[in-house]
Amino acid sequence: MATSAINHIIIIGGGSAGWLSAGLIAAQGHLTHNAKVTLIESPEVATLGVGEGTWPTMRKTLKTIGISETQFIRECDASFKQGSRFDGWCDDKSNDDSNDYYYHPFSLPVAYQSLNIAPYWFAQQQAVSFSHAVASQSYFCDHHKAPKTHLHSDYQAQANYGYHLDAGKFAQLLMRHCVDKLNVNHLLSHVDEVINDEEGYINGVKTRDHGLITGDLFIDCSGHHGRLIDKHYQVPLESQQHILFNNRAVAVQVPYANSKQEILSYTKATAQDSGWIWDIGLQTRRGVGMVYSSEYETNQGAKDKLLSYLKTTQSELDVSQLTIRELSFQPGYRTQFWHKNCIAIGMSAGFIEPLEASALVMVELGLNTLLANFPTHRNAMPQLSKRFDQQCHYRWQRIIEFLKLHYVLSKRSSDYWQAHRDTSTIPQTLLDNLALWQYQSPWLNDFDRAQEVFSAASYQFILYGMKHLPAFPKMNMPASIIEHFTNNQQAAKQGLANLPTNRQLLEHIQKFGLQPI
Amino acid sequence: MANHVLLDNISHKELKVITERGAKWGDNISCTAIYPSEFTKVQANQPIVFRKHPQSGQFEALALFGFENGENLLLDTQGNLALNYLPLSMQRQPFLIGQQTQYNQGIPEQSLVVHVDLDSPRINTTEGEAVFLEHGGNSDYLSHIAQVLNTLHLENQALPAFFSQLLELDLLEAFAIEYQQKNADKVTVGGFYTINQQSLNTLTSEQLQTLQHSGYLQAIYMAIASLEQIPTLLNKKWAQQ
Repeated sequence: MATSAINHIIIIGGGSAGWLSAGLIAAQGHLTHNAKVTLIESPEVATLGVGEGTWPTMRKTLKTIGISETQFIRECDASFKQGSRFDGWCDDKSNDDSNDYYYHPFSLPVAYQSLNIAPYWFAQQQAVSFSHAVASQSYFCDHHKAPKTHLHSDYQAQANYGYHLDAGKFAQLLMRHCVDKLNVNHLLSHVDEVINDEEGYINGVKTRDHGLITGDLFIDCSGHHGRLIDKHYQVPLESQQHILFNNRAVAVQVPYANSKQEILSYTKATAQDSGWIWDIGLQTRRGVGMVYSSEYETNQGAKDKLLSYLKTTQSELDVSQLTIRELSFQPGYRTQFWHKNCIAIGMSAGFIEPLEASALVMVELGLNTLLANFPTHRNAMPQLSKRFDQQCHYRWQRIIEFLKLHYVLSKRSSDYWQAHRDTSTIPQTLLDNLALWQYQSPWLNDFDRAQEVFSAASYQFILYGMKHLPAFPKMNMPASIIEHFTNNQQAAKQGLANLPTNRQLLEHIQKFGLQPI
Repeated sequence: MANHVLLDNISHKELKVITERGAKWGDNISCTAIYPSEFTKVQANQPIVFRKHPQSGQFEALALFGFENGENLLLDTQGNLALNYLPLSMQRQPFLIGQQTQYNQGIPEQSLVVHVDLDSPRINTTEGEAVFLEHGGNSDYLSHIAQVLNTLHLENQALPAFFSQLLELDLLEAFAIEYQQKNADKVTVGGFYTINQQSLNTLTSEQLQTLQHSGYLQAIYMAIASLEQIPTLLNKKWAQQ
């Protein structure tokens, strides 16, 4: 009989999910009664390296792990991300219409803590877009501004922000930090076999080079391999392809035209007839890719669309020098995320298209939930795992509904987009909410969990960015409300005057760094 | 505008420098950069505060003379400035240190040279201290300036270590100076940092010893003591309103 206390946590997988797990767990030993942490990484790893987006949550995560923002920016090719911009999602003419774009910024609408400002915007919707009217950050994005200045300290913001980063370099930095500073035991070896005890809990893993490694809690961060959750426990993956059709991607790294080219401070998502193209600006290069559905697009068709998009952004680009990588995935998530003493974190738990960059934040949320409910004893696991599963299911469902929202409001006419609007592909909760939002604006009561993945604010940004306005009685505008709109314009003006560009601030950080306080 | 050129005893043979202090010589400034070795002398007269350098964002130490741009509350009614201790960063004016690459048998070598700001109001050919002697040798004044510049260069190099030690021990904290104007408007001057006394009081004896050996401990206490000069300076501001 294995020991029942949780003294040794074993993480399988050395990508960003594995090392984020190791970092967050090891840095918060008080939550795990100082359990020992071992990360086992197979030497045959392939990283994608296409550039990834984080949410603002990553700032707190890095701070908790104990990495300075300066070091992170310098070592991960990272840049500042202030939200997402959606180009051409509303209708067909959009690709040539430079006015068809909207933001989903990381900042909340002005006065969000005290009132719902959205209904007051409806009257002025012809004059100013929703995101510009309620979030000064939209102007910063228009002008490629950084979310802060060089006089702000590490992780301190003028406008809320997350990052774009090189996932391979990120994993490397986390690895060095975890091993050097947080005493994480790092084993480079392939897992050949997983050994159960008599209760069906994992007793240990047999590694090719280090023999049997026993532990009490196993975290599966092995990505789509699902070494423990899938290969060992055969917990099924629930496909979501009937809702979100995208299951393929082609991706490419693109050098900047010159050292003056602006670095986008948002992820740009440009709609295509059979999917959409992401454009992410790192410090030294862009990561660009098209995500699409194999049902509606061929591999070659996707590559052609990607290259023609690249031409529109950098006309002198020599596309023959680019290497296009092909990826395929099954959109979906596990029916169970915590089985026995095994927890799936990262792509082993589930994966969907990167619209709204939910991959890394789901790693953070999963770990925070685990650490807030950390088992001190095996006997507590059945209850805790049930709770964990409910939380994760809820989150996945909300994410899938929110991503679906981006498609269902479109007027684009290709088969792909029409299929997205077929009500049989839309989750019932979303249909219900959409019916409600024809008469009122999304607000706090529509989402009742303390920790929602997407708040009512996010729904407002998408609905009104897609010009999906409710039939709403005209509101008269009290002076106090006008003041909120004025304050927002003032914050925009001030920010445009005092903020450096994304590129300027990143260059400053490379040279001087930011101060910790 | 500044007009910095390399000082030489031919083109600048006649150069003289006015060393009097006062508003008309450019001393209408609200602060000047100082270094830890100067803290003991400065704290007896002005508040010592830290801030992030507006361009580099790196921490620097300042002696505070006023609360608004260009406000020097220590100027007397005639606009003259009489300081008991004149910080090195003011003593050096209108000279600055420059770097020059010289080739020694084809190998580049960096050397420090003296630059002068020809647009400084202190510069002239009739009044003040002569820079060069009649036959081109350095005057005592210039030798003194060279020494000041050399010290500043060394202090500048040593400064990052001082602040990184303070940061490492969590000894810096942000603070703002608040005051009420006679018209009752409240003004907050932010962006300053000072010593976090709570952290200082919880240092281990080993940490204190490290600070003592590096010479920082005295500077830390001097910076704390200097905060008593803030009310004095504020009183001057009140008196002038």
